[in-house]
Parts: sequence; C-alpha cells; structure tokens
Amino acid sequence: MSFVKSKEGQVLTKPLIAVNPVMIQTLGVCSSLAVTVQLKPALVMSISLLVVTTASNVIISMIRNIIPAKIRIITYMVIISTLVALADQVLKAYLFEVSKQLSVFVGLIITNCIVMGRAEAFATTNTPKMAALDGIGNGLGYSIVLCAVATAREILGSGKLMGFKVVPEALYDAGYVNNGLMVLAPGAFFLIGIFIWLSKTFYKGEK
Amino acid sequence: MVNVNSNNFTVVFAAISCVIASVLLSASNLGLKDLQDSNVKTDKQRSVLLAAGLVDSNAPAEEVQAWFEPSDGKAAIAPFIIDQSSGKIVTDIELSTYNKKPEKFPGKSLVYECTKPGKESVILPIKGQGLWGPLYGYLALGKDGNSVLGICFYDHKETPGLGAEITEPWFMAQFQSDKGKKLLSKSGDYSKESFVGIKALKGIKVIDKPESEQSHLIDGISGATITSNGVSDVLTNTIYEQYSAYLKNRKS
Repeated sequence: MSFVKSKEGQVLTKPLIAVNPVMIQTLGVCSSLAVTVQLKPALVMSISLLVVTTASNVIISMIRNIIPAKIRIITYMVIISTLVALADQVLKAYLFEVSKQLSVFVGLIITNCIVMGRAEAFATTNTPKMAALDGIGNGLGYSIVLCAVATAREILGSGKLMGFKVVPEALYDAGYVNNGLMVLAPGAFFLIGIFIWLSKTFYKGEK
Repeated sequence: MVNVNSNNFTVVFAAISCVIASVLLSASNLGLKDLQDSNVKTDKQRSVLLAAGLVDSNAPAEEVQAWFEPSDGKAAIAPFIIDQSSGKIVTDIELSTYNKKPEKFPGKSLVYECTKPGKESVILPIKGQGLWGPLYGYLALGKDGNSVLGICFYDHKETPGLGAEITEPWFMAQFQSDKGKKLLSKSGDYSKESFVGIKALKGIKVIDKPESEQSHLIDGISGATITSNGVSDVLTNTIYEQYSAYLKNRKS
C-alpha cells in the first residue's frame, strides 16, 4: 500500500478511476466513440495512445526548461505528431491488418486532448520520472474505458468478442438479435454517458 | 545560461526541433517502406486468392506469395493488361508501370488468370462507388467466364456495421460457387442484352424471388442502400464495360 500512498503512486493510480481522463475529465471522447466497435482495434488504439502519451510526456519533461514559452504549444505538437507518425509507420509495417482497421484514427491521436492536456498540465512542471508515471497512468485510464466500451459494444452489437462468437447460437434461435445501435457511434455515446454518470456519482465525495 | 524566451533562441529552437523531427520521420519512412509496400502487395494478392476461393483469410504471407512468385518460376496466377474495347491482351505496357498509376492508362484494365489444373479461373479487379469512397475488390469467375466463384473487397471507407458488411463472411458467401451466381442470361453471349450481371436487392430476399432470376441477385445490406447500389452498379455496368470484350475473346 505504501507505493500507492506515495507521491509517485498517486500520480500513477489516480488517473485510473478517480480522475479518469475520459470518465471524469471527458477528454478523448472522440476516439472512444470511433474505435470501440470491436475490442481488437480498441486494444491497439489503447496501446498506441499509452506509448505516445508516455513518450511525449518524458520528452517534453526533459526539455521543459529550454522550451521557449511563446512557442511551447506548437513544440508539443511537433513532438506529439512526430511520435504518432512513427507509431503509424510501425503499425503499417508490422501490424498491417490492425492498421487497416484503425485507418485514420491513429493519426487522430495527435488531436487527442489527453496527450496535449498532460503535456501542458503535468510534463512541463515535473521531472521525467513523474511525467512517465503520469503518462502511463492516463494512458491506462483511457485504455480501461476504451476496452470496457469496446467489450460491451462488440458483445451487444455483433455477438462476438475479439472476433470469436460469445453469444450462443441457441439464443439467436430463440429470437435474440444483435443490437444494431451498438455498432454505430450513438451506441458508444450512450455507453460512455452511462459510464460518466456512474463514475461521477461514485466519486462525488472524493474531489 | 541563454535566455530561453529571447526571440533569437525561440527561432533557433524551432528550427532545430523541426530538423530533428523531419530526420526521424524520413529515416523511419525509408527504413520501413519495403516492409509496408510488401504488406500492401500481399494484402492485394491475398484478396485475389480469397475471391477465387484458393486460400482462407488467415493464410500466411508465404503461402499467398507462392501463388504469384513461386520458387520454380511457374506462377499459377499471372496478371495481364487488356484493352477494354477490343478485349485483346496488351503487351507493350510494362506491368510495373501500369500498377504505379493505372489511371494514366484509360481503356486498359488488369486481369488475373489462374491456370492451376482444376482451379482455372479469371479474376477481375473491380472498383465501385460506395457511400464514403471507392470500393476496391476482386471478382472471380470460373473458366467459362460466366459463373461466379467469389468476391473480395480489400479497400473501402464504408460505415462499420452497415456498408462495411461487404467484407463480412455472410455477404461474401453469397458469391461462392455453390450459390450458382452467373453474369450472363440463358442465351449466354456477351451482348449488352444478355449480360445481366448481379444486382443487390432491397426490401426483399433472394429466396422470395422467382427461381429463374435468383442467379443474378444477392441480398442487399439493410441500412446501406448506397453501398449496395454501388456493388450492383459495378457488377452490372462497370464490369460489362471493362471486361465483356475480353471475356468474349477468351471464350472463342
């Protein structure tokens, strides 16, 4: 428990639930709607975002004392977009099938408010070690929501999980049909809305 | 220590960070380009084989490449460039030049012939218009140039769950050889009248149609009328315009 209570532990674990970037701060909602039709692309998206947030946090934190204040935002953009472009290239080379499914959304990590938000709010005023922990924490917080939404949508929307059938055939014979709403963006809106509602209700007192 | 907020330092900092970023990106692009290109190529080749039902969708890259570039040099599948109006095979255009920019050669198309004994087929690249962008795929025909063996779309921008159902097994299964889909009507020549093609239905299922028409119909996708229409259009008009002359020549 001592690690969780320590300053480092707090930086790492708070974004998981208590100040979750998607559920509490409502950042990065756009991609949570777009890539959560199935679990597999959601997982890859989570990992990509985790890597990009952590790397950009560390780099920005390392050069935080020499970034001129006037062009700091655009400097973050250069660093983040370079990292994202690199991630995109690597996916295209080594995970072609998945990169086909993610298509434009890898590029859209650049505009994900979580990456930019952590750079400006945390990395510029903290050491690289803390910034790395913060990046991992926020990346994981985002991943939790993304995977939860994707799991719910894939099961309800297409009766599968990771591409394998999970809804038994007998249920379909009994008249069950997949929920078409879940494969469309509005389905994710409802789910994320419910998640935000629940988490705000449960964590009201802790702020 | 220099003043990090002076104008001079700002300009120098901006310039240096841009140079570092561009060097990194160019290096990664150069380093990974071969791998990426070969992925795209294998993906297209896999679609050709999937359309003709020659491999399954999880086949490893080596198995796919073996059909096109086998070690003994005798490829089972060979591409040709054809002239759309005369239907003749064109030999004075290099395949690699054509593949780089097909749109620079109007009136020319690519076809693949599979000559493996027992699996003879002709595979036609198709390009239709979907809701959000073009649909790229392959249609495989039996050696009679009439009966359909299968279809496979490898690139599209349709809505997941709606138009994107064209890549789902249930949709592709409608084109498999056991479904007996055909391009030509009973008279069996390649004139405009008897070239019926295949249409996607809306609001009615194929099994509710008279049996005589079923070989030219498939179930459409509900909620994706424009995608379904795009598929119908390419499998009736486009394919007639581009390939009927070649298919006719081929038969005679």
